[in-house]
Amino acid sequence: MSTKLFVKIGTILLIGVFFMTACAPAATPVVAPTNPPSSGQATGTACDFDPTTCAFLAGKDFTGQTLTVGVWGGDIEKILRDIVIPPLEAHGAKVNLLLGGTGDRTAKVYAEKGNPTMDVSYQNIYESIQGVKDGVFEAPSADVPAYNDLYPVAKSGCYGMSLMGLGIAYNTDVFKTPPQWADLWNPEYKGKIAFPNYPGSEGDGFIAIAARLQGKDEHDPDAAFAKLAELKPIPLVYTDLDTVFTMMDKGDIVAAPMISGYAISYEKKGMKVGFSWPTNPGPVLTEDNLCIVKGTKHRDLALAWAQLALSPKTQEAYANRIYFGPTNSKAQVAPDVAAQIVYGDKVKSLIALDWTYVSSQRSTWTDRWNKELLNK
Amino acid sequence: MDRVLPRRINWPLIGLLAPATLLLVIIFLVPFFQLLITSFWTYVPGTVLPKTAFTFENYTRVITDTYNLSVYKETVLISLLATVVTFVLAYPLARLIAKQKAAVKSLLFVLVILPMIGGAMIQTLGWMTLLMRYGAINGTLRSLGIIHQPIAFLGNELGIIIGLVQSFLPLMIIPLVASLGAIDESIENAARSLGANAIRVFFEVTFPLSLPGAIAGSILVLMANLTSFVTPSMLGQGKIQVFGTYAYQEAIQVMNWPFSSAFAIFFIVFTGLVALLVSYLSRAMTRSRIRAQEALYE
Repeated sequence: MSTKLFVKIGTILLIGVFFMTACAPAATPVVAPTNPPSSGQATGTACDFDPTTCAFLAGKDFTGQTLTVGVWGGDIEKILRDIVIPPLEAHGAKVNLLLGGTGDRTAKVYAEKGNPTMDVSYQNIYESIQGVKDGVFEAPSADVPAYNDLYPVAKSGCYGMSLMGLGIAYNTDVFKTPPQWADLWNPEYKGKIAFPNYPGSEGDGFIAIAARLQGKDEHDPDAAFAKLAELKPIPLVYTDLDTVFTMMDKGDIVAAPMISGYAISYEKKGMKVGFSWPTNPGPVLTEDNLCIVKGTKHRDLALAWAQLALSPKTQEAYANRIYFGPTNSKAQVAPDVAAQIVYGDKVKSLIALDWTYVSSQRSTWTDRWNKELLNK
Repeated sequence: MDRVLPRRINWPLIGLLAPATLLLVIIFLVPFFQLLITSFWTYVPGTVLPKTAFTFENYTRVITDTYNLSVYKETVLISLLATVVTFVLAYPLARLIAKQKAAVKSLLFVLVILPMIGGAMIQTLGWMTLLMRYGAINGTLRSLGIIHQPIAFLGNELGIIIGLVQSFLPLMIIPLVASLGAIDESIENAARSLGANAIRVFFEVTFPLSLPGAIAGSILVLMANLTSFVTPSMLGQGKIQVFGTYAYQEAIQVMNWPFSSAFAIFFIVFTGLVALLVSYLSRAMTRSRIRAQEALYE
């Protein structure tokens, strides 16, 4: 090819790139937060949190410190930007959010063990239990005053951040009343039950439920996998919610194990989907955790972050906006929201798994899931 | 030789090469040896931290586990099929582009390369919405009455192959155009003037002369297919396991770093061997062709 041709191609490509970059922001839909950002933090003097949190923050100066927080992007990130970050910035801190999934974060904190670059990391329950044991996360303590107000269940790993239940999302045309777990095994629905991606809390919960339907529990994986295999063929392994709820709305899928709260926004869009809190056996408890990374160079700032994140105000925002149940017993939730989330007495009705055992089985179970459920 | 290569150390050259060499050592060689070492460590169920006890077990599992073997088979099959389809689609297009005048040629080139700027993720997201059960393609086919039940494109090999072919088409077209553009048109005219019809000209003149580009393109595309991750993980919807998705599952979801390291090493060696094999075969093919022609004219 001639040099001239290359120059020409290069020029046109450059113009193309410029054109695309110029258009990109306009092409990306800007999603507005569901609620307006809370006010009152702009000046840095007013504190509209609970007295404990305000007292804990009073007089602190974080000037020159940057806190690095690893967390999921999207709705959770928005709540943090609205509620948790402004008061810290008012005290002089800078916050750097690292968005992504918990797998990436787990890999990062273990790889950087002893010399972390991330100060706070949001993890799921089994990762936090293991991480505390392996010395990559701090065990929860009253260094964060909100610790004293947490439900006992929220102290088993790091600081429990949100409580969710693994229940059943279902097509409301097919099930006139909210189904129980056993209903998924009705031969009529064979090949129409979507599975979660494995490994993950949803899959672990589904394994535990299948074992319980056989009169066993998660310690008997043989019973569980035999029962799950009865649901084959699997129409969909869901990795994103849009796909599974669209297919459920159309009736290609009649039900799927699902974390509480996820179905609500789709229900509100007018899709024919609902969420069931099964009672026999009950939903499986899952819990997001806030972990302070051991060896953080900004521990005071990390503690302040944890206090703000676990405060009733933040926890109530989680409940009202994304239907995640609070772990702080002082958080107040309106009755209509309470019905949709893990809250109050419902906390006790959920099945708590033996997470240490489940973690130790993850590799074996992934193998079995691949071979016995996904393989044709 | 001594006259050409002075014994003196060429300091300026070393100085110029040092930054890139250092960078490669740090970002490639060091992690590679880390990977190699980890692959001989022992996984402890329930924790991310492996024991440093030496074991061959990870490699045993890589090579003997029946599920792993089915993953390799699936990956190779999908990659080969996608490469063949890419080649068949790319060839006529490359020929068309090669025949154009410079200005048109560069415009067409840009059109071919442009989708690559967006990256695999954006392209795959586009395919997801097109191929979905209730997406644009199924919707159009259904409203035209061509099909009654939606075609399942996603969660199977079909969707992945469609995605791969689209992603890597430019990798095939570019070397093909270079090869086809270099063919002297008078050779084809000579064949025609000697009475060969269009088909014969193509198979006995054009195609053999374009082989270097075809082989280069095929190796590039095959390697890209074998190592792809985003396309199979999104269009396979967790139901199709290939090299990339399996490595991700073991490394980032299960956190079995020793096994995933062994798997990665195997994977590197495997793709390397495939590349060597393909280039060896193609060279052998070209040589035998030349020998056959020489025999013909002797």
